[in-house]
Amino acid sequence: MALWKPNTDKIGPNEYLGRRLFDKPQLMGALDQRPKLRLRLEHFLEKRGDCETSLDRMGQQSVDKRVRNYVGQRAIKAAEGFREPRQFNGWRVIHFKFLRQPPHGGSPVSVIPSPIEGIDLDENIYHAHTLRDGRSYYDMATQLLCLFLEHGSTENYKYKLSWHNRWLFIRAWFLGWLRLSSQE
Amino acid sequence: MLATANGTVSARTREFEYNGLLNNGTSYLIWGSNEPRPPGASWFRLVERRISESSTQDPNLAGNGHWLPQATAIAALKFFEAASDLLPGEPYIYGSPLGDLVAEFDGEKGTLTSVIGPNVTLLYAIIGGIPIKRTVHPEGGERELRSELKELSESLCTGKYGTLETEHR
Repeated sequence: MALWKPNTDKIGPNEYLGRRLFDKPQLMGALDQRPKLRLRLEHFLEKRGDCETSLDRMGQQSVDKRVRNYVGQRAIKAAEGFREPRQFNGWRVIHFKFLRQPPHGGSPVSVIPSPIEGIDLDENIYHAHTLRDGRSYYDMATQLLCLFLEHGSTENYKYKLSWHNRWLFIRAWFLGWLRLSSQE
Repeated sequence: MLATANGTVSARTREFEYNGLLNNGTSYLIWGSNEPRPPGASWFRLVERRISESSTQDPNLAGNGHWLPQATAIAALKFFEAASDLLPGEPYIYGSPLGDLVAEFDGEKGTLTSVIGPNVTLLYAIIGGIPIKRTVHPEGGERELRSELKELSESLCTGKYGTLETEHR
């Protein structure tokens, strides 16, 4: 069976949408904090304040394994492409109906397809993003957090970090430790 | 809430304000001209250190997730100093891409997320999947902050909220 070709005009009513979950940088003075494993607001904060929230279209009726594999490879590349490489921890996935008609009321979240053109892993035909529709940066992130937390599920994606990135993680941790030690 | 001379506590107004006598008979004026603060939470010093050690004056570093702009750090320290006793527990803190401090708390029936910046503090309580937002400006002072926080903290314990307000306010 051919790989699902998504409609580039609109999101289908039964589609599943995923928000990529990446490790986040920690404050230098708070490296001793125990990490919270649950979904947090920062998972829905985009790097720039004027950006809409990026999502992956994960499947037409359910999470499609081949689509998941396609976007997973791109997510790993994105994780390695940050200024400080991060770990990709899968997605938080939600049925589109919960965004279109939030069960507890509140404004619907508009999502539009926005395929990314490119070569090989730079291309993502399953990319979509939300529209803010007048919400503030933090209001948008909070509404998405509520909906994904309440009605979403976590989709894991296992892979191994490259040796280069393992080294970068260790180096970042060591530099942080060194800085704190020198202050004491 | 009103603390009276014999130590009983009665509900009075929605605002957190009392001016009475404690059990030991000493006057404990909280929001008068000579305002002793209520004792801070046990975790306050720890969080204070974390914020202080994450502060930077370098504008190029602020917003990268590792460092907080100094103005944000000062606002955050004031926030916790003013209200740590009302918060549900030790927060998980991190920097937002816009350079604000985000502090997340777990309550019994929901979560509270505070976004603290130099010009405004946003409080988002999420109870039963519904966000309740409050905006606190520095001009409102500690009194306004504590009033809003007390209400939200109580909702996090009971899971109930009187006048429900969703994300747009």
